[in-house]
Amino acid sequence: MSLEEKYRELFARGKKVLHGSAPALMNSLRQSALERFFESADFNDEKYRQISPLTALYPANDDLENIPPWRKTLRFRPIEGVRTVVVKNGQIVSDDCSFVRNYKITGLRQFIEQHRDIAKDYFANLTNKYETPLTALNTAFCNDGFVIYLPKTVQTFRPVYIYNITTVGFANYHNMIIAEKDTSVNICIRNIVNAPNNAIFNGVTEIFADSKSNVALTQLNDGYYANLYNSFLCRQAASSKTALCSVTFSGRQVINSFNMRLEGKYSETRLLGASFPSQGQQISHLSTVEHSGAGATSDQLFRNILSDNGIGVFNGRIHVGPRAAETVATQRNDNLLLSDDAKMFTKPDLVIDNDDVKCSHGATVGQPDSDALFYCRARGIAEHDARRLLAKAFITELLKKLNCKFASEHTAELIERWLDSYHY
Amino acid sequence: MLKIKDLHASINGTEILRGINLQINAGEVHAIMGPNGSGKSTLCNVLVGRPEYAVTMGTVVFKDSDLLTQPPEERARRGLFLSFQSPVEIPGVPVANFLKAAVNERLKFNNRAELAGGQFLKYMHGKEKLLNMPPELINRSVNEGFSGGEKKKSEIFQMAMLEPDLAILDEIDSGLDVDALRNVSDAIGKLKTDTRAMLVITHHCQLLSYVRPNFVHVLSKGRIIRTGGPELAWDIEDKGYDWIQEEKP
Repeated sequence: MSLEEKYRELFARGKKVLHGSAPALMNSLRQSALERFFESADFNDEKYRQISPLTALYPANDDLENIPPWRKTLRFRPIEGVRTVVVKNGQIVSDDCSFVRNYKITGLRQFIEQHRDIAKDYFANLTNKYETPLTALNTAFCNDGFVIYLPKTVQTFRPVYIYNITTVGFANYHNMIIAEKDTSVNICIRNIVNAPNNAIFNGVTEIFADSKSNVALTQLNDGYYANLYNSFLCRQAASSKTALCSVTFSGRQVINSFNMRLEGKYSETRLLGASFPSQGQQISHLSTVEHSGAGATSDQLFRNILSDNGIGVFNGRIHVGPRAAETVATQRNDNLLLSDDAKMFTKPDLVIDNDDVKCSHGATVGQPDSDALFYCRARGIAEHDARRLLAKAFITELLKKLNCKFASEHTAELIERWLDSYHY
Repeated sequence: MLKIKDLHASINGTEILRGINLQINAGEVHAIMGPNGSGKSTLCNVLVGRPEYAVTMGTVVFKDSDLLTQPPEERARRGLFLSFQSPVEIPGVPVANFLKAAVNERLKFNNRAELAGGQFLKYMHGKEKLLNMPPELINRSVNEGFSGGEKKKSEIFQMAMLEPDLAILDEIDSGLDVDALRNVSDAIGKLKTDTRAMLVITHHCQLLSYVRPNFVHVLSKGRIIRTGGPELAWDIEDKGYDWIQEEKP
């Protein structure tokens, strides 16, 4: 059976699960998206070859007992002062929203049923326009997801913490964040995939930032032995601000892709990324920032710590369109190699079609500074502790750019645990 | 406290130290002067264990133990301190965190209780006060964006925090203006004790007039070619090094 036939069989077999209770809006897009996926996907690419129809669509582990003991401390616990939402296999299972009345977090299916007029303007709007094989696959197989909808002028004070657990072998969740005019929200997503080896998590998050809205989203990923694909697509109106941060601790093959469309004048975005590829893991960050509105600002910083035979990839692109005068855009990718076998491939890229811009881009790949290591040792700090200190310092620079205190502290805590668990 | 006997060392196959002999006792201050390239910084680097330098002959005994077999961190934990001539910047590591790790390593090595957060802060504030250390320097990353004077002051502050038995000050006076030199010298003066030994590497007498060495050694071509009292430093200031080199057969 060819790979295409396998996908088709999976699609047909899953039809009952996928189509059964899904809204017509979701179902109407599936078949054509599947065909476009076949047209655009390169089946020589390993990420499309790992599908296993036996495990796909069906829960593999219904509990979290397979999490290694040292990871168990990462289990969900309620956090004071934070709106906590638990999402399991794409469905919201609990939401601590007792204090919140002015905005909703709902399941995707429920949102489309309840707000058809709003949903038709937003659902798959960006994925259709800027489709990739992975987003087409998501549209074809999408089961559920969550929607954060902020009506005009809603300013949220408590950060939203989404504890997102996936245990199925083939997951395609579609999330949306709709921030209308003059709104603000801070979101932190803890994304854990506890599924069999080679499972596929293919998530899409569409973000719509209307004028003067402010959206901050931090996603903390642990894919363990699964393949983790996160596609973020964001459209920004005038004077809107977004800050997206993705930190990936583990995953067999991970791709975090960002597609930022700065359409409105004076819109701003900040993209941050960090990852820790080790033990044969490959973690990629792909970013596209499209400046089409005048006076917009973008700032990108991606930092990776690679160890063992881990592989990292950064492919960043800034495009400044002909109408995007007064653009300020920066892009930086720094990588710290802790072993001789780790590999980093980096390609920062700038395309400028306007004269009135300030742009910079650059990348560095290096090992811990031997002078700094010796300086630490000369003060009594053992070499492995010095390496840990320098690795932490390297990643701390990125954390300083996170404005949300909760997200920053939570991210710092998880990074600290990763650094503690690594043998330098 | 420190006994160096016939020390030879090289870097990249080039011999720099060609037979150093030196003994420093507790409470003594020794100064080493010498022309550029004479091996002063190499001696410092060899003593703290910089891996690029290879010791080809000789022995160094520090506090009754063989220094040359110890890794750099063990030398530091035993009480050897080097104030670097050009301290590196370590972005992202606050001075306080760095020093907490260093101080606790030394305490642990000496079988003493490590300092917890509050105790450490109290200890650090005491040293800050003693040396008039600006608190904002402590909250910044180690040496990052520090001026030349701030870097040297930070080195002396680290020395105060670590309370070494032997402090080696490698050109602590280089690049300092008159006021900064006085401040750093005052700070060094406050850290002199009856039990702490110091080895001061310098080109200038001004620093020595503050720290008042017991012995001044002149290093040339990897050997100590003359040893004298503080007056030797003033002779060098007046006449340079040539007359000493010429005197030596």
